[in-house]
Amino acid sequence: MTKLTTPQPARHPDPTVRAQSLAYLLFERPDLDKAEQFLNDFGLQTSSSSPQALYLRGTGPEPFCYRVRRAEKPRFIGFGFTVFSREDLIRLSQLPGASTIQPAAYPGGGELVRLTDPSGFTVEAICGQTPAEALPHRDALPFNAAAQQPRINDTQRPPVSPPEVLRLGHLVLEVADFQATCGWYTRHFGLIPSDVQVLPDGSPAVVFLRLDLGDTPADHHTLAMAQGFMPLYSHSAYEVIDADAVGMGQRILKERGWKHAWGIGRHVLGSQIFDYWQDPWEAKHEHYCDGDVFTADLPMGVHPVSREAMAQWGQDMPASFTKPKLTPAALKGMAHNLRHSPDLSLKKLITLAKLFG
Amino acid sequence: MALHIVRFRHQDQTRWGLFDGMQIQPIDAPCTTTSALIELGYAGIQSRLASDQPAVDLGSVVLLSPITTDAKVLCQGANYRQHMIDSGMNPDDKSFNMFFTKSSASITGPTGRIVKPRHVELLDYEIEMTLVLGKRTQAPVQVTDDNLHEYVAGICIGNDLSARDVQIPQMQFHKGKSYRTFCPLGPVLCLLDKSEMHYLREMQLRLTVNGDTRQQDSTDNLVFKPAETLTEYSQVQDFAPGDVLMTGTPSGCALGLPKPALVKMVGLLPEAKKWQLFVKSQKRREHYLQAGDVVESTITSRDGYLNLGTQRHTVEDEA
Repeated sequence: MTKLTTPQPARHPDPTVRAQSLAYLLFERPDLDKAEQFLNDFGLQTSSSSPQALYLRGTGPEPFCYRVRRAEKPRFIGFGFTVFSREDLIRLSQLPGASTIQPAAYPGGGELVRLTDPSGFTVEAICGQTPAEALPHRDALPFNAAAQQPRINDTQRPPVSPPEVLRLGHLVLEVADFQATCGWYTRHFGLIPSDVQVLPDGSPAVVFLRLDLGDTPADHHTLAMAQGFMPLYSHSAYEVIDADAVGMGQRILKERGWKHAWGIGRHVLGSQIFDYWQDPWEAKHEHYCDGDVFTADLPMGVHPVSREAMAQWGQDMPASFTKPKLTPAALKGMAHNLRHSPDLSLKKLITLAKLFG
Repeated sequence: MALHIVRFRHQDQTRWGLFDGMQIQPIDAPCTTTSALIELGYAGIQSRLASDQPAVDLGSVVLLSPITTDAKVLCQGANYRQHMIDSGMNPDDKSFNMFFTKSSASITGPTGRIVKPRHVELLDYEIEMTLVLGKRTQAPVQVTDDNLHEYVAGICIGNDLSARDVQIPQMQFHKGKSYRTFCPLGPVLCLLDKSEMHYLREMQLRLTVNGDTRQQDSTDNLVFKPAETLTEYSQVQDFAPGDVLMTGTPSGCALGLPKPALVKMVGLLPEAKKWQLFVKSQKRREHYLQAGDVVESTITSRDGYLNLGTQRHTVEDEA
């Protein structure tokens, strides 16, 4: 019987607020043109751009879901959660280290509170954004199943173009201080664990956290977190209309010379059909469709972690997918966190390296 | 909603920005004065938020006073209950409001240095919630809690530095309180809307010297509240947007007031002798500011929603 032996992940009985949705990601890149090229090929549409910053969106009504700011070095800064009310912002603004409530200097406006999670990622809570007009996208393709064939005298020809991204789906981070960071999100944003994968000692290797929207179904995970040796952006995932969009995405990105990371396959936890691509700075971006949705009722699942548990079918996860780049800064970070993070030991690092390295 | 505005110098440019406690988001406002900024109004300021420009880290800027030096600096004395009691007055008598002014030449930024003039020995501090006015008046006006938001645009931290050995023996409030650098303001000019005016009654003030808390009180203990004060002040002053009203300081200043009986006895002494004794007795008090002392002030609302930032100064002797 697989068992979790640490306090986190766990639901918090009375969180500060409950996040409503994942709103946007905040990146810094040295070359905005290059960033825009990749993201447009990936299927995000530019909603506004200037020499200093680039905002991109999906076809949904969210005014933007991706910001790239010009900076000397590429960096992932953090992300935004939408919250339900201004009262939520007031509650969050009273947390230690929180900013005051400020107007959001983003497309769509609104007000936000800026926080820093225990791993150092910026987390903004935003409320009152003006929705944008939704953009058109193609319908899901009708499938001719053996028993039921809706398509007679008609062919299947999805357009040969970047797949329309509907929305930002989820974000995956690696953290050294797993317990503190996971506890912070469950306590302050009401995230609830859907599934956790544990190491042989019962400590969590990966947790998938979903939004608590009560009876309204929420994505299996909106934020996932893996035990790592330092805080890192792992990947972010964008929903497209169907599996053909995932496949067409692969064709287009391949033709245009971008670097593939992993896929196509179907995940186990979350079930989605996935395909991962790297942007010019080797940050992974995932196309997906057909993910699980859970209501708040479903309890947490606990599973042993393994490479094989990552996909039901498709290409094996390549070693390069999770292998960290061992730069001097990364080694320094690892040495520091080995000494200071209560969640890391040399033994655990070796276990993780064997699993994913 | 409250806008936490700062004025700062960054890469040789003086700019306005929105400050959230960690970062500054630049505002593209060509205003060179606080009054021009206030006249943009909430919507005007928000529409000029420069979303395509990177937020600026606090560490890379010099914070300036959010109040430009064209402002009048109006002041209230003895306006906290405990400070009045300490000063031998009964706050419940509330018989008169005590008004004076500081020169706008004394306005200085929220960080840096406070210069102690060579001839001053009794340099004192006074943290004050400072109202930033938002309306022009040319006649007496009736300010009430209902229309207060028309007259008060926002609040900031003020420190009413005072040379007690000029102010008291020479009986010169204006001079004793108006040397250059004697009026640090900011860093945050917090613009408030009508629904937020209740915060004027629930701001928590705290001033430390070298880390020791010297003054700590709530604006709930103001004897004369902002509306009645402005009504009374308007009889003798015209207001303009960007002018400030410093609302008085809580107890805990360095100044030690002798017992009333002693004052009566000392009153019988010749004038020169009397003030010689005053300065001598005050100099025995250790709380007066000396070169090297670090003075820090904060004002936040009780619920933490408003945060006027931190003032931090080092005292230096005049060169």
